[in-house]
Amino acid sequence: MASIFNQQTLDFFSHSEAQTRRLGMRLGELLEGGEVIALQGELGSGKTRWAQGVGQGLQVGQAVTSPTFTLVNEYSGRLTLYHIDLYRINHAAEALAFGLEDYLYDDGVCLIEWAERVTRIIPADRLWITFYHLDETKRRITMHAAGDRYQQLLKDFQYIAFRARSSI
Amino acid sequence: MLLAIDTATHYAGLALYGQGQVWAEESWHSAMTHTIELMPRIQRMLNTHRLEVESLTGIGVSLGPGSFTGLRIGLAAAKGMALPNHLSLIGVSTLEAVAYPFRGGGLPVWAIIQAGRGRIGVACYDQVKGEWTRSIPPALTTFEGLCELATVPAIFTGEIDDRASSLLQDRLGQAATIPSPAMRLRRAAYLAELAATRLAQHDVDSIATLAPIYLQHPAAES
Repeated sequence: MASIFNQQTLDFFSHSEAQTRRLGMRLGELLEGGEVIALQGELGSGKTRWAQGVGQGLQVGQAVTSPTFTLVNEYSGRLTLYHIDLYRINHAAEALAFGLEDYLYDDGVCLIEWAERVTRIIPADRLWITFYHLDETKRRITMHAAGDRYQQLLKDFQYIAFRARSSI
Repeated sequence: MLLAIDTATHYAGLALYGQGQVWAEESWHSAMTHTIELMPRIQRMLNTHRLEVESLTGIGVSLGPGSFTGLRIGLAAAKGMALPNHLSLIGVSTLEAVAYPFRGGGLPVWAIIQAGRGRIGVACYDQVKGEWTRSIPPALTTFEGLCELATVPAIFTGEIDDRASSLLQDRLGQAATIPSPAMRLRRAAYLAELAATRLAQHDVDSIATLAPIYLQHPAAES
């Protein structure tokens, strides 16, 4: 599968929900704790599927579901996973008022959907993943890494997801 | 008898203070599971001293800066006990309690709490015109940032790990006095004493309106 990669950006296509989930799982396997990962894209573009894969990669025993109405779902696995959904949040102040920063600066992993609503309070060092809905099953996924740690993470992900295996 | 409650950070503490002495004190490191730990520990401390909540005179609570969730837990517990039992409530700055044991030592005191992944909350306390007072208000920074802020010899106390201690010592040399881990522990007895002093002066807070002190992210203001 083709992917375009430079130090900060990895751009590729997913051809099915299962594939999106497997790619998320590969990323989950690489996480060490304390990561902030934004998931951006329209409803149905694959964010939750990706999050489910990350949960698998972190050996979270239960099914990862959308936290739209709860704001945050917390899972224990190899690391604590905070799956955060800011769909119902309109301003940075609102996010701070429910304690978002306690999660962002915790030792667990933060997956944040609709992070673009509060970009200013998301730590500058982060992985930002954007999902584009191309057709019924096909998605374009762009991963952008800011900061040394996330560039290394992206490099490792690119290697295990696209080089080490002939197909994923 | 006054009960002090501190759940501002991973370090939590309880103390009983009355008639000019500390009757009980407990400090522990919590994996941010204060909700589970706090009430049983309060119950145990009161039971040990055959005290009922309604027989207390006041509750002192660590008001922040600190963890959003931790502060809410402490304040909710304090208000929940104070309101129905008509107890006085006194909110004390977490950093003031950190600096407290080093007041009047001839050096300014940088009080430090951890705010997660390298971020710290700091404030400076100093003798100004003969009065112990806060000379620099609470700010969110890092230990590197603190080295820039600290321009004169001072005591650095509170939540400082080994790595930060080495950094302060390397950067500031003789200008940094860092007490040992036991000496720099934020103790609930200090919080209790600060609250008891205020209670004696009838300087108490409103149960309805007392709110935690959060170090606001600069972006939230615009």
